[in-house]
Amino acid sequence: MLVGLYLFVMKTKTGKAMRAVAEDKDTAALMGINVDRIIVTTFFLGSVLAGAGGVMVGMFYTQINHMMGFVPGIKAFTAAVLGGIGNIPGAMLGGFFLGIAETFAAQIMPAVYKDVVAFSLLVLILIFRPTGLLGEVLGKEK
Amino acid sequence: MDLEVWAQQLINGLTIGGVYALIALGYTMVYGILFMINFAHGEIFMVGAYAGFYSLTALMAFDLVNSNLFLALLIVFLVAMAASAILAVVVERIAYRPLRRAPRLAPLISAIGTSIFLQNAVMLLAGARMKVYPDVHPEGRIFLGGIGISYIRIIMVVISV
Repeated sequence: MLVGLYLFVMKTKTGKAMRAVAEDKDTAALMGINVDRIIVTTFFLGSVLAGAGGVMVGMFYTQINHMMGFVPGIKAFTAAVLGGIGNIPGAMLGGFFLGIAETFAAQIMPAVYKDVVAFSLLVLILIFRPTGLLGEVLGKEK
Repeated sequence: MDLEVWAQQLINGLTIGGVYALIALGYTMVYGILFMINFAHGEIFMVGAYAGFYSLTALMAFDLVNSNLFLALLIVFLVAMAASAILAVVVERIAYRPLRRAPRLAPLISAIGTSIFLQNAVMLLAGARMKVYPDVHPEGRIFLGGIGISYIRIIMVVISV
């Protein structure tokens, strides 16, 4: 699914329009791109992935409750910041990096500290590399 | 602590990391386009898990799970993905689109509100107790040079990527 999404954004016309809207909404609108439709498509795609993730977590941990979205949500946000938010390969790298960092941390210290490690990583990244691991240099203040 | 333990942990990390990556993409794409953090995204993920739970339970009743596991899981994934996607589109329409021209803080607060709303809505609709997912994934594991990898982990990593 990660590969599929990447190919979608990079190879299809809708993907190109998404990148154009991300670059500059007004110019994209002038070029005849339906900005509202692209935004809805973005929400749609992101949520398709999240829905699949939800089923996998449900099957893996075999129990779900209504609060289960909060911590993974914040963790995934951390992952997105780790990789450089707004950057698709960055989010993938950040996700895997965070997952591996967490399980390794659970190996060398008591497992209850794995959340501490995850969020300490967030703080460290924000201090030392605010644009994330693969972050682009922002040309202008956005 | 030997190498095998670390290799095992690497597999565990990849499994959970794949899920983080899937969710992180939703954050990053929305941020890339709207420059807002969609705090309701974790709840979209939660609703996906619930949709999967209910469709899986329904399919158990029709006995499809035992006769054709692959088809059953395909349906479960499609239902969950569709439910999450439709919910996200509705949330965008109601909570974010009216604030498109508002200051950047406004949609952020709206997102936090949506997140709390969805948590409580699901609690009211589905009950506050934990739901136990039907155990359907294939049991067993393969062994690779001393480390065992259960099938569910392989499936998760493959689906994520």
